[in-house]
Amino acid sequence: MRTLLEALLFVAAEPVSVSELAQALEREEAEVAAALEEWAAEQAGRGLRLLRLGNRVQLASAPEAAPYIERFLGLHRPARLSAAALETLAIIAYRQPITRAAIEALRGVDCSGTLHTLLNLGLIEERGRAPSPGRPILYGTTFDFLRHFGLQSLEELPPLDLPEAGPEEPGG
Amino acid sequence: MVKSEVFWWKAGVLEMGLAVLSGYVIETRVFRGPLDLLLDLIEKEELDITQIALAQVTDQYLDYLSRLPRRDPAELSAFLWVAARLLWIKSRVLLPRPPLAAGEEGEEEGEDLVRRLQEYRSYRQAAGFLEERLKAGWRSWGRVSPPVLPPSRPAELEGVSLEALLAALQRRLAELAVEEVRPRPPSARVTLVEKARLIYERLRSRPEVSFQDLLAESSSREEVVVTFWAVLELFKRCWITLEQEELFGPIVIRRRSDTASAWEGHPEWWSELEDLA
Repeated sequence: MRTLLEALLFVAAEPVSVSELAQALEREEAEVAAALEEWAAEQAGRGLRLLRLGNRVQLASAPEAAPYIERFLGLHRPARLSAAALETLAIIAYRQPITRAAIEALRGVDCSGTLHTLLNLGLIEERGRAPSPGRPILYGTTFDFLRHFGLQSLEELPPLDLPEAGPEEPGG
Repeated sequence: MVKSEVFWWKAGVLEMGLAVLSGYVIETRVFRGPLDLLLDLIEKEELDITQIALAQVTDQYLDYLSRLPRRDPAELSAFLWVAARLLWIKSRVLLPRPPLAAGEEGEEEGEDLVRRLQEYRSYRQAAGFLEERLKAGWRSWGRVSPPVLPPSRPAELEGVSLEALLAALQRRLAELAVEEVRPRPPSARVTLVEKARLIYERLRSRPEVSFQDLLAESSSREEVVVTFWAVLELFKRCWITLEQEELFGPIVIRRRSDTASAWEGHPEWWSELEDLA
C-alpha cells in the first residue's frame, strides 16, 4: 500500500484528498488514512516528506534539503515577512478557521492590510463563512504555509502557552 | 550554540553602552499595535503580567503614545483604547478601593486586559517560532506540474497548421458557393437546437470532436453559421470546453466532465436554445 501511495503522490500535481487516493487504490478511506499516518511517522531522515492539511496530503521535499534545492534550482530566498504578518499568520495557524474580527481582537489592531498580503502570498485562504451575523469570512492556512515554514502538518507547531481560561468574556 | 550566545551577550552590552552614552534609548522598533508595545514595556521591566504591572508601565505607555508618529486614525484609536484602560487600572491600583458594588465589574475589566495581554504574548511567541523557521530557511517544495500526459488528440489532427485550417475552410466555403447555385429543397434548414444536439450526441460517444469536422459536414453557408453559433452557445453555457493548443491551431471540442450528467438533467436548457432560434 505504501509503495502505491508513494507512486500516486509522485504523479499528483497538487494536494490530493484521502478519498481520492482510496478511490484510486480501491481501498477503504480509513485504511488509506492509517497507512498515510504510519508512513509520515517513519519519514524522518528521508528526502521526501508527506505534508498533511485537513484530509489532503502532498509529497514534498525534506526541509533540510532547502539550501541545496535553492542552489540546484537557482532560487532566491523568499522575501521576509513583516512582524505584523508573522503575528497574524501565527494566530491564524493556531486558531483556524478564524474571522478577521477575532484576529483583530487578539492583536488589538486592524488587520485588513496584513490579511490581504497573506492571501496574495498564498499562505492563507478563505475557508467559508462563520454562521455569526454578517456571515464573516473565515481564514485558514494553506499547503504553501506548511512548505514555506518546512512543516509537515499543523501538529508540528509548538503547543501554545495560553493563560488559563478566565471568567467568560463580558457579553460573550 | 555557544557562539550565538556570545554574540547576543555582546550585542546586549553594546546596546546598553549606547543607551548610557546618549542618555536615552532611540526607538528603533516599530510596534505592531498597543498590545505589542504594552508587552514590551512590561518585559523591559521584567514584570509579570498583572494589573499592578500594567499600572506601573502606564506612564511609559502614555509617553510613547505622545511621541507616536502620525499614524492612521484607526490605529491611533486602538492605542488610545488601551491607554484609557491603563489609566483606569492605574487609578484603581493607586486609590483606596470603593466598597463592592461598582468595584466588581471594574475588577473584571482590568483582568480582561491582563488576560488579553497574556493571550497576546503566547501568539507573539508563536510568531517568533515561525520567524525562526523562516530564518533557518527550511522550506520544502512539492510537485507543481503534472507529468506530461500523452496527447489525447486524434493523430489525424497532428501537424495541422494555420494555413491548412484556413485552406480547409475556404475550400469548403468555395464548394458551398458553387452548390448554392443549384436549387435546394427548402426542408434542408438546420436549426440551432438540432446542431447543438448533434454536437451533444457526438460527445456522448467520443471524448472530443474537432471543430473542423463539424464545419466539413455543413452543406450550406447557413449551416456553417448555425454550427458556429451552436458551438458558441454551448460554450457560453459551460457545457463544453474549447481547446486550441497553438495560435490558429485546430480547435478541439470536449464535453465538460462536471456537467456530464447535467446535460440529461436539464431539459429546460434545450428549450432555452429553442427560444433563441
